[in-house]
Amino acid sequence: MLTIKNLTANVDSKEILRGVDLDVKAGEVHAIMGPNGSGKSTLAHILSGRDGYEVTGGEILYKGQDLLRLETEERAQQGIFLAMQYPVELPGVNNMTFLRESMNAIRRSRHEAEIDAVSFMKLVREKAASVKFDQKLLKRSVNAGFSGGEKKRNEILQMAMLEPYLAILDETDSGLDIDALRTVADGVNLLRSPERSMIVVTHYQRLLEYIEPDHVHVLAGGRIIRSGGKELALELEAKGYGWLLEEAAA
Amino acid sequence: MNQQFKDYSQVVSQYIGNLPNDGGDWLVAQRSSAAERFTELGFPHAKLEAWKYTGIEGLLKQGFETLDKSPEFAEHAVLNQFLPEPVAGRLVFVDGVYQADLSTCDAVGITVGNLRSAMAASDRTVLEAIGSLSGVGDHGFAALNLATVHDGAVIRVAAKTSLEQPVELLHMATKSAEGQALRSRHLVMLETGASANLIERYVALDGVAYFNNLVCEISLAQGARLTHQRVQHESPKAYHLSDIHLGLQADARYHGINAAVGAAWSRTVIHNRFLDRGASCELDGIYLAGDGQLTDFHLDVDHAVPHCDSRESFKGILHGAGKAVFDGLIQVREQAQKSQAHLHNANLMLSRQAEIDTKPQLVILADDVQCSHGTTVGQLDPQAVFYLRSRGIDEQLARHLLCLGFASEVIDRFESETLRLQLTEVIRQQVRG
Amino acid sequence: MGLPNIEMENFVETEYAQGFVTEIESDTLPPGLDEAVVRTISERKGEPPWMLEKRLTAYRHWLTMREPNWAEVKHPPINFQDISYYSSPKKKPVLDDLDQVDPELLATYEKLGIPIEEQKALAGVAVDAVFDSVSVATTFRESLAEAGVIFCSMSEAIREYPELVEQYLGSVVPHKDNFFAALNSAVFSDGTFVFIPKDVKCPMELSTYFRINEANTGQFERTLIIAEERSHVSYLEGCTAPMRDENQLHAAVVELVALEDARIKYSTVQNWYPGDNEGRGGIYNFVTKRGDCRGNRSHISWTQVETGSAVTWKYPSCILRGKDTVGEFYSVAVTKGMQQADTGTKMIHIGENSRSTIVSKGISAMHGSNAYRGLVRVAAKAENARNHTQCDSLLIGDRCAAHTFPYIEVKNPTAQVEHEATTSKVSEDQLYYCRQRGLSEEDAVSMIINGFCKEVFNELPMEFAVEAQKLLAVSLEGAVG
Repeated sequence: MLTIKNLTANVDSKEILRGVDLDVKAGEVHAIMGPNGSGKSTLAHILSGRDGYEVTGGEILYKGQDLLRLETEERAQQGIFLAMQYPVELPGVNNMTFLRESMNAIRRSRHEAEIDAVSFMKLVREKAASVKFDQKLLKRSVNAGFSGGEKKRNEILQMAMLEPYLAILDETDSGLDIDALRTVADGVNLLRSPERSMIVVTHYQRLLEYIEPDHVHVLAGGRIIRSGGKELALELEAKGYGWLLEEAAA
Repeated sequence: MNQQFKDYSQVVSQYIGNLPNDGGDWLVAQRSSAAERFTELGFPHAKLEAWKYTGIEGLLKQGFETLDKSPEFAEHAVLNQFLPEPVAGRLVFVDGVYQADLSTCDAVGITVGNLRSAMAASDRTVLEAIGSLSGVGDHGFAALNLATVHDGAVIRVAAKTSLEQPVELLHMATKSAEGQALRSRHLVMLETGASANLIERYVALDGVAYFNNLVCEISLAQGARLTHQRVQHESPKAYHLSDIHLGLQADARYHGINAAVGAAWSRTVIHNRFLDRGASCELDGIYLAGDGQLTDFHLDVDHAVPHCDSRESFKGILHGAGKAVFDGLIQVREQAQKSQAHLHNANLMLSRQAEIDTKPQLVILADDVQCSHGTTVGQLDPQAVFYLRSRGIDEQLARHLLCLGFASEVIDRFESETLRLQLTEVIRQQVRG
Repeated sequence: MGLPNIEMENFVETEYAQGFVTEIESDTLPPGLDEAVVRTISERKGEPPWMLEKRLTAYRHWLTMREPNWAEVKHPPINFQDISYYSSPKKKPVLDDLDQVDPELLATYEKLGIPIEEQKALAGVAVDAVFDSVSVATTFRESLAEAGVIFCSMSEAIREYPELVEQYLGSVVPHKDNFFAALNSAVFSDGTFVFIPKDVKCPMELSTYFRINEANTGQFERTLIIAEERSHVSYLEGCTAPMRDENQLHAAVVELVALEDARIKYSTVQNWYPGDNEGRGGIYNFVTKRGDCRGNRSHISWTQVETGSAVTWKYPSCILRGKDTVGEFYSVAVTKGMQQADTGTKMIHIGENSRSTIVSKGISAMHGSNAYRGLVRVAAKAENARNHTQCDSLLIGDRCAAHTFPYIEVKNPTAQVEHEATTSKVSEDQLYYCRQRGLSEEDAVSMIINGFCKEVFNELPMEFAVEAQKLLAVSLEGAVG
C-alpha cells in the first residue's frame, strides 16, 4: 500500500524528518508514536500533500506510484484520508453539502456515477448513527462552533463516508474524554478491513487500547528509532520515551 | 475666513515674534512653518470628517489667550496631588509652567527635564525630535501648538534601562489658569531595549475655565516597552485637546491606558505609526460624559509595515446630557501583511439626554491580515439590576455597581492602585444612573 | 441543499457573458443637457404639465449642486454634457401586446435568459423590461390587474395614474436629496411603477430587467413601489449592459413606501458591465434607493447582489418612521479587476420599537476596492430601537482593498445597537482541508465564498438565489489563485 524510503523533509528551512522508512501493507494498522516535536504531524501532512513542507530526499510510493507527484486533492481522490488534529471550520458551508461534494469529487475522479440525493441522505444518516455523530450537526456549517469532540467525530464520519484505502489519524485522541475516545475508536475499528490500511499517529498509548495496532513505531528526532508489535506501546506507557532516546543517542 | 480667525492669526504672529529665540534658527523655522500651516488650515469645522461630531464653537467663544505668565499657588496643594507610590522621577507643570523645585529624578538611566531648558541649551536631539512624529500639525490647533510652544516635558530612557518604578508627569491647573490657552508639548524617547512606565495626569485645583492644547510625541526604539497610564481629570469648565503621536520601531511594545473623566470638552487623538515589524500597540480607554460634557476619543492606528499587532478597547459611560464621540480608525497598508488589529468600543447610555456618535473604521489594503472591530450601544441589563435588587441592594446602588463593573475591565488595567481607586471614586460620584 | 453542484463548463466562460450589443434602430437625443432637453424628454413622453414642472425644479436645483466626492472611489470627472439623456428603441407608440415588440428586442432578452414572453415565463414571475431608457414590455399585467395590482412602466403610470404618482413621487427621495437624485429627477426616462392596494398579497414575484444598449447614453430610471395597508410584495431587478470601452452613467432612483402592516421585499442582482481588467469601460452605478416605513409595523427588506459596474455608489436605506417597523439590508458586493464599490445602507430609527438588521458581505479580488459605508441613527424619540450589523470582508489577492465605515449615532438611552466587522482571506487551512477531502482548489474556493455569502443568499427568492450563486462563481473565476 505505502512505502516510505529514507524520507527527509524541511519546514521553514529546518530539518524535521531525517530519513524515515516505513512499509505499510494492505489491511495493516500502524501506530506512530513519539515525543512532541518528533515530526509525527509533519509526516502526516507530507503524506496528504500540504503546502509548506519541503521534501528534500527519499521517496514515497503509494499503490506503486510516486505519491509526491500528486496534488493534495488527487491523493484524496485516490483514497488517502487524513483525520486532522485540528479540523478546520468552514463558516456557511453546510456539512452535508460538503460531504456530498467531496464524495462526488472522488467518484468523478474514478469515473463513477455521482451519488443521488436520496441514497446520499440514507447513507449519511446510517454512518452518522454508527459513529454517534449528532444528526443536528449535519445541518450546520462544517465544524463551525463544534466542540473538540464533535469535530473529531465529524472527521471519523467523513472517513466512514469517503471509505479511503489509506487512513491517517493525526492525534485524533488529543482533547477527547474517554467516552468520545471510545466512540472514535469504535468508528475506526468498524472501518478496518483487509483492503484498508491505517496509520495512527499518537503521543499516548491510550488510543491503542481501543485500536489495536499490528505495528508500533517510535519516531524521534525525525527518524524511526524503534519498531515493534503492540507490546512496544505498552512498554512506552510504562517507561516513557526517555530510555529509547538515550539508547538511540548511544 | 471669519473675523475671529483673522484676529487669532494676528495674535499668534505677534506672540511668536515675542518669543525668546531659544532653539536657534531651526526652531524659528519650525514655528513659522507651523504658523503658516495654521493660517492655511484655520480652525477645524464640522465639514471635516474628523470633526463632524465635535463642535468647537464653545471653545472659540471662550476666547482663550496664550500668555506666558507664572502661576501663583500654594506648594502643599500641589504636593497633595502627588501619587503616594514611589516614583523613579516626577515632572510637575503648573498652568503649563515647569516647576523645577517640585520635579525630581533619582533613577539611573533616565533623564527628565523640560523642553524650554532643552531649547535654551540647543539640545539637538530634542529639537530634532520636535515634530518628527507629529509633523507640523494636521489640524489648526496642532499647528498652533507647534507655533507657540514654550514648554513641556522631555523624558529620555537610555538603552537597556529597565525602570521598576513609574515616572509621574503631573499637569495641574490653578485659579490663575483662568482664560488661558496652555500649549505644552511633551517628548518621550525610549532607546533600544529600554522599558518604562509613565503616569501622565491632568488635574485642577480650581473649577476655572482654560484650554489645554497638548501635543505629545512618543518614540520607542527597537525592543523598547512603555506602559502609559493617562488620566484626564481637568476642571469641569476646562477644554482639553491632546494629540498623541506614537512611533514604534521593531519589536517595540506600547500599552496605553486612558481615562477621560473631566473637562467640559475634551478630545484625545492617539496616532500610532508602526515603523518596523514585530511591534505591538495596545490601547485601552474609559470615558465619561455627563451634563454639559463632550468627550471625544479618536484613534488612528496605522499598520504601515508587516507583522505588527494592535488591540484597542474603549468603553464609555454617558449620563445626564453628556455627549461622547468615538472614532477608531485602523489602516493596514499594502505591504503590511500578517497584521493583526482588533478594536472594540462599548457604550453605556444611562439617560434620556445623552448622545453617542461612534464610528469604528477599517481601511484594509493587504489580504493576509486579521482585522475586526465591534461597537455596541446599550443599557444596563435590567435583569442584572433586578438580580441585585432581589439581594437587597437598592436600585441606585445596583446601577452604580453595574456601571463600575462595566468600567472595571478598563480601570483594572491601570497598574497604579491609587489611580484605580480614584477613577472608581469618580465614577461613583459623577455617574448618575 | 444550499449549494448547486458546480459545473465546470460554467467556469470556462469567464468573460462578461452579457456583453453583446443589439443592432436595433433607436431614437436617441444628441448628447448634452439643458432646460430644452428636460422639456423634450417630458414632451416625448407625453407628460402632464405638473411633471414637467417637477423636472424643471429638479434641474434648476441640480445646477446649484456639486458632484459628491466623499465616497471611497476614484474615477475621471464625468462630463455631463457628453451624455445623451434619452434613447428609446423605435417602436409603435403604445404596446398592447408582446407581438408588437421588436423581435430583435425579444431576442435580446432571450439571450439574457429573461422571459418576457408569457408562455415561456418562469411560473409566478411577472417581468417589466426596460431597454435603454424605455420600458418595452410588461408581462402578466392582466392577472395582476385582477388582484388590483398595478405593475407598469413609470411613463405609463404618469399618464394613467397621475394622482398616485404626484402624491408619492419624490416623497421618499426628494430632488434635493443629492446630486444624482436631482439629476435623475430632472431627466429620468422610465422605470417601473408598482402599486399594491390594501390587503392584497401580490400573487407573484414582480421583476424588472434593465438593459443599457446604446453607446454614450445614460440610464436614469425611476422606480416607485407603493404598498398600501397590510399588502405584501416581492420585487426583483436585474441589470446588464454591453461591453463598451467608454464609461456609461446609470443614476437611478428607487422609492418605496410601506403603509401600515405592509411588507416590501426588494432584491437586486446587479450585473452591469464592470469594465475590463485594466479598468477600461464599465458602468458608473450611482443609485439612490430608499424605503419609507411610513405605517406602523411595516417592513422593508433590501437584498442586493452586486457583481457588476466599474464604480458603484449606493446605499439602499430605510426610514423607520412607524412604530414596530422593521428594516433589513442584506448585501453581497464583489469587486474584481479594477472595480470599486462604496455601498451600504442607512437605517434611520424614528418610530418606537423599530428594528433593523444589516448583513454586508464584501469580496475584493485582484485590484478591486470594496467599502461598506453605513449609518445607524437612533432619534431621541425612538424608544427601544434595535440594530444589529454584521459586516464581513473577504480579500482575495494582495492588491485589493476592503474598507468599513460605519456611523452610529444614538440619542435614545433605550437603544441597543451592535456593530461587528471582520476582515479575512480564504485561509490556507480551509483550502487544504477541502482539498484533502478531494475537492479541487477552484471548487473549494467557490464553496468557501458561497458559505461566506450564505446569510445573504438565503434572503433571495429561490430561483434567484441559484442565479446569484452562479453569477458569483463566474465573476470570481480567474480572480482566485
